[in-house]
Amino acid sequence: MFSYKIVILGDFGVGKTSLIRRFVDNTFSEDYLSTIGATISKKNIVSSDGTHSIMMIWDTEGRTEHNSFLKQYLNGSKAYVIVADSTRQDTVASLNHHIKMCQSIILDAPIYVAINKSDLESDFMIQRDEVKALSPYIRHVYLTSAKTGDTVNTIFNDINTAVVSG
Amino acid sequence: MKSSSTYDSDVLSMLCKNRMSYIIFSRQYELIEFSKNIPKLADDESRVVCGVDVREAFWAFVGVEREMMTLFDRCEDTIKLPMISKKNIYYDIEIGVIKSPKKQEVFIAYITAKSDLLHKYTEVVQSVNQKTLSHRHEKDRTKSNFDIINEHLITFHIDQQGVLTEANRACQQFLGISENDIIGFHYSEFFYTRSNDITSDSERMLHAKSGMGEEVFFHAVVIPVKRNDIVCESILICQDVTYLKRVEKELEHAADHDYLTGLPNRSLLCKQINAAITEDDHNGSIFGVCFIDLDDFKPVNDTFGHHVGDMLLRHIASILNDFVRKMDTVARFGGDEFVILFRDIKTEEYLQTLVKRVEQLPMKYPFKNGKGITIEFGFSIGCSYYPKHGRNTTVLINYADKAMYKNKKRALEGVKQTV
Repeated sequence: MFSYKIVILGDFGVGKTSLIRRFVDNTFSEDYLSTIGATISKKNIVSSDGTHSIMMIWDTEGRTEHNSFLKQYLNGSKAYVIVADSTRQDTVASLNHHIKMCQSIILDAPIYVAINKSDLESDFMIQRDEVKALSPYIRHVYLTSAKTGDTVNTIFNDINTAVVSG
Repeated sequence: MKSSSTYDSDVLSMLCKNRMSYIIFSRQYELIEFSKNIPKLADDESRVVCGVDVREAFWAFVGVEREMMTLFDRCEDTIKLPMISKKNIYYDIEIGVIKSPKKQEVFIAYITAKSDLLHKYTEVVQSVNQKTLSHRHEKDRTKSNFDIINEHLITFHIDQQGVLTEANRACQQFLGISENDIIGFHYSEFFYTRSNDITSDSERMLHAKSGMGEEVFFHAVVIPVKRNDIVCESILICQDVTYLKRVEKELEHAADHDYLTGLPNRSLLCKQINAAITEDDHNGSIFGVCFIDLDDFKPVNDTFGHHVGDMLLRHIASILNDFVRKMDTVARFGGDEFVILFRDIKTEEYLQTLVKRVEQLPMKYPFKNGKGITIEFGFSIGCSYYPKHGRNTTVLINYADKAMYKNKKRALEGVKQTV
């Protein structure tokens, strides 16, 4: 069966692990436990055309000044999911940093941006077009909520469809 | 080019003793050999079987196949995947190439479980991250609270001369102009107060017109800002108290007016008569006080109830108010008694004419209760003139009151005289 790797990255506390837990186990916890290093989750996916595939999702440690391992996790990824927190402007501002890091490893790898915690009220507006304009390799910008599950499956299924067909 | 080493079972067992585990697998990723503790570290323990694709047991190998192939070209010695976690175990993976006893080049992955010390370290890092995040959320929440306050509470800075040096967003929005059109002007261009020496007080009442033309009253707290112990500017925080001003006006109105009919009450009537005495003394004109008592009001209350009695009093207030001139005052004196202050009466005859018209009002405007029943009513009236019948309010009212009683009595006896 076709197996491939994708990597989730973004600032710490944006909900990377929660998005994965929602997609893989359909669970959510309010408790925050930061990821150290990388954790790999596996998800069997059946596409709408019946194709079976296995997605290995690398959950990485949020960006900190001391995270020197991140670049080593980015190798061989078929796509990157960069996550920001819709309630924290600094995490949206650092999307560009993550994009550049991904492109330094695989220049043309497709990037999917998830603006997470859409269930919470935010005091600033996110212009999705402005985020998409950050890189020509950004395929789509999603507003997601790991808490409610909103658009979580969509983002991973879109990636799977693109990887399997491409 | 470097040559790959041939693996030796003694070397491998030594690796195991040093917390290092290994897996050997072919170019096709078929599992060839592994150390005893490997199943514990695998992502899928059940797939740690010789001949099975190693990527089914260790998911970290998925995606790095191309990079692993470069090891055979000796571009790199090893590929490192540090700090992979599985549940509470952290381990490093280092992939290299080794020669099998059959002289075939195969992959070897060294898997080093991290010590318990590192586990404790990661717990500390997690705890620090957790605190940092909650601190950041708290900071964001506080910042956003201040932003909300800033949007609603008008704040501006003035220097010692009262010139505006800063105006917040709420201030700009209220005045409907940008900060550039505010800064540099004296605050009194926008905010009015009784004294222009605003900086000497700790609080002050201000009023201003909004960009929409609405007049708003503010209670301003004046905070002096000191530099080197010298006040160099003041910050004014303004709270909209327009509603309090409205409440104040309502209370003033309630103190001087009758709650049932909305007419001026006895207190306001006396003030108006006092004012009339002062003014008319000055310009030489006269005025009249007309005391009206509602005839047979008690039977209305007894027959139809107090609610209908109240409706009748409102009806009378309304027709009297419609009848008088703008300069006159109709007051509810108490119970079923009303008083009209007729200002600027040229002659006594003119007042007599007005009183006759008042007497006819009940016939012209009969009262119908809610059920369409006509309730008849009538007035007994007595008048006094200023200055003929008295030079102060009490005397004038008492005179009119007595005249009214005399007329009521005479009416019962069949004779009527107004004064």
